[in-house]
Amino acid sequence: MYIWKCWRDTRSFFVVFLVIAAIVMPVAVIVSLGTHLVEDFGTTAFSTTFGLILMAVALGLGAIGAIHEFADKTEHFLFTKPRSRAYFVWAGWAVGIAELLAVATVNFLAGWISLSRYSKNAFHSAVFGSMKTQTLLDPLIYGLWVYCLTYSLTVLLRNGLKGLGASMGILFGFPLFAAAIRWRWHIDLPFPPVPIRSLPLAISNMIWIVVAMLFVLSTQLAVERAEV
Amino acid sequence: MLYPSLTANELVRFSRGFYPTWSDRAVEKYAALFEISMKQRFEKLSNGKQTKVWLLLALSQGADLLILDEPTTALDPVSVDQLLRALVEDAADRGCTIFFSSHQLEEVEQIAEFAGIIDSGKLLMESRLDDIKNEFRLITAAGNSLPAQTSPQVLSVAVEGNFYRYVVTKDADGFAAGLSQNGATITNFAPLSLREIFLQLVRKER
Repeated sequence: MYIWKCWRDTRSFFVVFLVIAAIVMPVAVIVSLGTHLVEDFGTTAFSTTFGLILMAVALGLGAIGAIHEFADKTEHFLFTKPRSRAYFVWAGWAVGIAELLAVATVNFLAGWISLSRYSKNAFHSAVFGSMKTQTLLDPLIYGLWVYCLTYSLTVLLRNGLKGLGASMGILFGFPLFAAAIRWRWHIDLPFPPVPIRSLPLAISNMIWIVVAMLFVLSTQLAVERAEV
Repeated sequence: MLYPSLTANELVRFSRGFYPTWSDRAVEKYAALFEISMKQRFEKLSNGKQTKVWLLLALSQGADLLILDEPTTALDPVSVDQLLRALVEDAADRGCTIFFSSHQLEEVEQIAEFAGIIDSGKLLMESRLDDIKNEFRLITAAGNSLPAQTSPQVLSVAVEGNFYRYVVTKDADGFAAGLSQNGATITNFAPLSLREIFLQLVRKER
């Protein structure tokens, strides 16, 4: 079973981050007991750790999910199996996205339960006010984007490290490039999860999700046409 | 290559889902026959054992047509013998076809029903193995002034004193009778091994 194989390759990484996602907020809340930190900064810490964990998991799973699946010689073996190449691309992607969502869910529930137990309102900060839905949607969309980009580059470059490097180059390089463009020509280049110009938030979110999926679709098309 | 970090058992688990005709009985049979350590990682196995894992995965698919390219590479003689027997049994039991390429012509001779000889990508001959072997004869004749030229019928001639060694294809009996009529004494009339036939055909072609 190819799905099982993908799970086997990523399970160690997944379990470690699942544990981190489950304990980070409870530990932070327990350590801060007796102070105003939970009331004042609990939601901020929650959204920040949520975003950081999702980004780390997205980068990791994107690189590990196809770390050597499509490498030279391994792909020869893989593509002799009676399944389409598209199946292999999307099956690997699906296992990673399921793990990413599981980590996100666990982290969200752990944060929600911890803050609910030790503060009056889990999604309200005495300093920063109420947390918006978009505050949690942004890391999710960004996580999806990072995962799809890293996974696609890993598959296309046939190597986990190269894929991770290229992805990080784009993720960290593009904002700098966009800043330079803005500074020089006053043009705003869109970058997820920032809303695209004046589009409604829901439309903007949808566009970023579609763009992320297009990375994987393009990868599928490239793999299907690759000489092996 | 197979996934090096997977054990043989895990490779079986990985492969099983792809083939509806997969046979776990075959896995057990070949694992025992080839003495494969199923719990050991593929990368930790010797070259011979890795080849055996490949073969186990191929033979357990229950395929109607099995294409094996140099399957005995890296195997010791005992394992080669085990494998060849297993292939013959498998083909007989399931009625499957095994397409087997090898430079070890003795192995081909041992198990093949049909054989083809390919040199530099060109098919020189393809027929039932028995027919191929029946078609070629080594004739040794003693006599004076016997024909020493090759022809479409005579693939090669070697002369040592009064002895002439002919490799003849098609109607070897008639050729030998002709030599006898010319006063020659036939001292040897023998079939050729597949290896010798291969060499004769390739030399003639080149």
